[in-house]
Amino acid sequence: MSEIEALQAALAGEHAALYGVGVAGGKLSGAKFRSATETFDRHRDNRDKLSGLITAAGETPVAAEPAYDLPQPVTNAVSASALILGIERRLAAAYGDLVEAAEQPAVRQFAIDELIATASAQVVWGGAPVALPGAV
Amino acid sequence: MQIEPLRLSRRVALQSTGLAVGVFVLAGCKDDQAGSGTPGVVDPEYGKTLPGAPTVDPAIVAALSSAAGLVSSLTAQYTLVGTKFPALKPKLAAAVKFHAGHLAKLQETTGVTVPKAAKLPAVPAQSAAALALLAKQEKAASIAHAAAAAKLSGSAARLLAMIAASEVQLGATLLPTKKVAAS
Repeated sequence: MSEIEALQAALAGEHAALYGVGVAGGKLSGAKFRSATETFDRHRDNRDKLSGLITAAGETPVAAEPAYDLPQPVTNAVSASALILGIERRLAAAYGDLVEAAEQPAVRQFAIDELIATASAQVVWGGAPVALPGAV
Repeated sequence: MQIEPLRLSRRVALQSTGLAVGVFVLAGCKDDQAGSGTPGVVDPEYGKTLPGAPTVDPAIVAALSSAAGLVSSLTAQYTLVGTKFPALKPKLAAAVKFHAGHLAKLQETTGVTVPKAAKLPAVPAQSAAALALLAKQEKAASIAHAAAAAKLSGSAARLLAMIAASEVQLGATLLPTKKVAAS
């Protein structure tokens, strides 16, 4: 996988994350809702950074889909939290790919930071530690 | 559309570009010329190159060896804490297992050795303080491994970054919970 392909894959993941976290946020309240809002903000920032990196490389950033099928219905706080946990796990793999494919130090640093951020978020959203977050 | 664009995109990208890239690389590689290709490992006994054993960049070996030393020290610290507080062993089990896996993964790279562990800090008298010490060491190890990953590239960078990510998770689970999912 080339750096640009990994950047596009991470961006596609962030588009999906924004959709999914937005849906999940509608079923959350209190501290969970505030955490979901912070999560949404982080993914929005990442989307913008990735779009900027792709544009700077002379490529067109992949667009978001109009909608995404969710892996399971989001009907309450438990299923909403599970959705966000699943999103963070999938994004960890995308950022793992980006760490490996990165050619520019700035891209690699960004990917490392976000791999660690998604791993940390997994624990916050109820996930257990894994041996190698971001492995595929 | 599934909310799994990552897998789909990757698969499509690999299918669409893999062959073209492969052809390009093969076309540019002339391994029938004298002196071409990656030199193999030199057999210290005979001074000849061993076929089929590619060398690894010494910088990568050094970085992974350093990481192996740090992981080994962490494992030893877990052992000390578990010995002093047997009741904590179940809580520490996952970390011990994962760090053993990290060490094994690091040692898969040819030439990686595990430096002798530095002197470990004394285990605190209270179990909560011992857990806090382990969490602090996990955080420090994560920072070190992330910094080392940034100086490498490719699969070595990814391995160190994933170990750093695992250490962040392990450190977080040692401290009083902050899970929003449980709140």
